[in-house]
This record gives sequence, structure tokens and C-alpha cells, in this order.
Amino acid sequence: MATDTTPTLTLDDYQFPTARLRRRITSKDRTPLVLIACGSFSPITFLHLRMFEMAADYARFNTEFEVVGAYLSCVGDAYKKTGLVKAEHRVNMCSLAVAGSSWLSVDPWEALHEEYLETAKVLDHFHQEINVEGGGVETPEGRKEAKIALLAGADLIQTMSTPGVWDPKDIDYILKNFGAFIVERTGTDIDEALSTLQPYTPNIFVIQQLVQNDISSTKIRLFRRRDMSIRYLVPEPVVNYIEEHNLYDEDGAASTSSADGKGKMAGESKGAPSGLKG
Amino acid sequence: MSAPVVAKNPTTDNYTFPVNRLKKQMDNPEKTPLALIACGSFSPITYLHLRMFEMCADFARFSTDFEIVGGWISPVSDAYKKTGLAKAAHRINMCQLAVDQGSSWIMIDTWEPLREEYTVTAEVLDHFNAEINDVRGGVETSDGAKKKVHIALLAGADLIQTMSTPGVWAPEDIDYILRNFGAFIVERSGTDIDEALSTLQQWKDNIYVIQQLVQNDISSTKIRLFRRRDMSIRYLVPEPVVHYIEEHSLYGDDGGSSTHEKDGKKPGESLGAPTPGSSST
Repeated sequence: MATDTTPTLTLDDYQFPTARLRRRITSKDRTPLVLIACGSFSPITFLHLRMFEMAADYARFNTEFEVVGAYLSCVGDAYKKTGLVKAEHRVNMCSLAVAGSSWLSVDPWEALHEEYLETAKVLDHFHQEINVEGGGVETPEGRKEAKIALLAGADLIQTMSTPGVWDPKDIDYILKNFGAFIVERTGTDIDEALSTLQPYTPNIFVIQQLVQNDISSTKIRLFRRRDMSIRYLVPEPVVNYIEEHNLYDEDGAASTSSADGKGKMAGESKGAPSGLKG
Repeated sequence: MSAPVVAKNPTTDNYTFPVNRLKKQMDNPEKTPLALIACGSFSPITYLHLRMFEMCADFARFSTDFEIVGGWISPVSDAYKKTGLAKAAHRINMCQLAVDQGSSWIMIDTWEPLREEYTVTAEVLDHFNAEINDVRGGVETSDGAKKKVHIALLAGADLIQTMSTPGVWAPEDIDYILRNFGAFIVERSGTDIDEALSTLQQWKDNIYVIQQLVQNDISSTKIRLFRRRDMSIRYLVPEPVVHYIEEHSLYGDDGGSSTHEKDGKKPGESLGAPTPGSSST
């Protein structure tokens, strides 16, 4: 029972996804905003999805931006980070996760490249598609370019202030031309993370998490290796997908898939009762 | 548009104890069968409530000799009169929506919430003990014998903290619950578990503490706060519960505006998120 979403895509047949992108806003004096979350998403979790919701609330209440679209951009396989499963799987899981959303989209462009792409190039791509080729967004004050901004957890910003991780030119390019919406994260000192990024602070928006939450993909992978439940930490279709494709197991070991006839749902704790009931 | 899962006016007359997901037979006759009972307001139920059950199941399997045979949620009755308590029928419906598709082993017991008077937790646990052990004689083992099921409270550390706060619980109830039943306590950020257990030392052999490896403090209180502030609750509670809350205008400031599906947004999504329908160029 395959839950793969799109058939294998290549750059040749790639088309920028616009189905959930708004081309017109009606509010006066607002700047259209598109949020781009770049990351491994190995796997995507509820916290990733919450980031978008929190950012949308924040933009509405605290800024003069109006969100017109949002994209997840999975890093390509060339990144060679620990725990990274094939890009195809990661893109599929993201697609499953946003299927029920009315405004979140997955852009496979970055993942389709065999070579690693810097974040600056990825943001350029969105600007190109949405503003240059797409013509921007209609507003009561005329056509405007949508602001393209990075959406990330404070941990990503922390890497930006850690010497040797990012190319300073890239940091400058991203924070000057685009900007970032940063979601606070338990375990990251946001002030420390922003300390070396002072010149860019007008273009950095910090969103507080009102619900302390540190679901991380790293932990999901850890739980899988330890045969522990990941249910309610990632969306159900993603749990099913992980089980069906034996992702993140110690050695592709047996999974609690419903194919074993035990009646448990994918990803449920093996300590939970299974089998015939009642 | 979701169909109601509980009769419009559920009464104690048509009540039956839910056993559809109770294990018929134990896998391992050497283990002690365990039933987990989560009591609380569940106004509304959240992903953290559901995680509690999963974490406890992992804990029981890895760190104890218990074999879980069933898990139940028992929402408190309206008589409890706690802040933010939506009507029992709604809370039951939301719990049911959360576990129907979302779990294979958790059941919702409506005995407690359908009673007009408030029922102390000790009595609720007695009820489960009576239904599972007295009425049904416990659970079968693979060698045909029947074993008495150990009934235990499943709760967050915040509930245990109330047990060690003077004046909240009747001391006889605490003793009755912890001596005859026992508790599986999930650690919670913001609660000092050692402090919470400090005055419950004499029952510590019957108290199991489960550490949360993922720090998570989704609380129903926060869900209600977000709703009052028109903020998104998506991905904090199961989707069918988000829909239900929107459809019935629960927890809004004054039943305030909701992101109805007719403007294209999904219920519970941030009002700051774009509204589809004006995407055409």
C-alpha cells in the first residue's frame, strides 16, 4: 500500500508550485510576504508545521506584512548530513504533512539538484519565480514585490553566528536582501544567537513560542532506533510513510506496520495492546 | 462537517462500558496486566494527552513487568465547575474524534462525565476495577486462566502536584488511590517532580515516573487562550478536534469569528495565513 505522492520528478519537468500562492491582497498598507523554510526535514514534525502557524499569527499581529504564501524547501542529498534519508522520501513526507493545509506548499526545486545549493541561491530562486517571472502581488497600492523571508528556528540562526559555519557573504546577502522570521527554541539562547547579527536586526523578526516544544527530527530518529513511539509528534500520514519504507530504523529492522496483522497503527508504541480486542 | 459521535443527549441509561479495544488475551502470561486510566478535564484534548499514553506504553514495555491491556480517558463531569470547562457532551465528542482514527487502543469512558454529580477519582478507579475485574473477571492469559488487571491512574506531574498540595485532595482518597491502584506520572516542564512526590513517599512503590524525552507543554489552558486571542491551534490538537472546536465555536471570546471553511482556510489555521480564493492572477 504505497503512500508515495508525486511520481519521480526531475528538473526537466519541474514547475514552481503556485496553487496555494495568493496573487492579490486587499488590505491597505500591507506588504505581501512569502515564508520559506529551508531544512533537512528528516523527518518533518509537528513543530515544523507549528512554525508556520506561529509566524502567520506573528505577522498578522506584530508587523505590516501579509502572508501570501509559504514553502518548505528540503535540502538536497549532496548535503550529507547525519540522519538524512533520500530527498525523494523527505519531499514525499513533507507533501503528506501539508496535504491538509490550505496555505503551505512544498517546493522540490532545491532537493532536485544533485549539487548542494546555498540558502542564498534558494531564496533567489523564490524571488525569481514569484517576483521576477511571476510579477509579484497585486495590492491596493499597485503591484508590489512579495518580501521573501527565511523562516527558521533559533538553532539555525545560531549556526549563522557560529564562526566558520556560514560564509559571511551569504549571511549578509540573505539578511540584507531577504530577512528572517526566527522561532525561539528551547535550548537556544536567542540573544546570544543574534549577538553577532546586530546590523541586520531590523530584518530579523523573533517569534516567541508560547508553547514550549522541542520536538526535533533528531529525536524522532532516536525514538525510531529505540523502537519507541513517534505518534502525535509527526503527522499520521508521515508516521505511516516512515513505517512503510522502514526509514530511520537501526538497520531497517522490523516495524510496527499494520501488515503484521497485529492491529496496531503505524508508529504506535509496541507497549500498547494489539491484536483482537473486546 | 463532522457527524456527532455521541447521541445528542447521552444519558446514563444507555451507557455501556467500552471494551472494544480491550485486549482479549495477554501475550505474556508472566506479566501483570495493566489498565491505564487518564482522568481530567480534557477541555480540549490535546496531542500531549495522547502522547502520555504512548510514552507510558513505551515505559511499561521497557521498564516494568506490566503488559498493557487497555487505555481509557475519563473526562470529568460538568459538576466539577472548573474554568474553561466546555459541556461534557462536547468534551466527550472531541475525545472520541481524537481517538477514533487517531489511536488503536485508547477508549473513551462516558460513565464519569455523564453523571450529574461530581465523582471523586477514587470512585472512578473503583468503577474501572468493577467493570474490568468484577464484571469480566479480568483478562485471559494464553494458558486459559484469567488474571486480575492492575488498574492505574495515568497523569501528568501537575496532577500529582495537586496531591501533595494541602487542602486539595482528601488524604483518605490519596491513600486509597495510591495504595489500591497506583499511578504512572508523566513528567511535565514546569513541575518539580521531586517536590510533587515529596509528601507521597509512603506510596512510592506504586508510583512510576516517566520522563519526557521531548519537552512539550501543550496544555488545554493554552489552547483556550489561543482561541480567545484568535491564534492558531493547528498541530497542537488533532485535526478533527480543531474542526469540532471551530464548528461549535468553542473557547472563542464570545463565540467569536472563526476561520470557516467557506473562505477556503482550514479550521484553526492562523488568521494571518493567506485565504485562498484570490489566487488567480
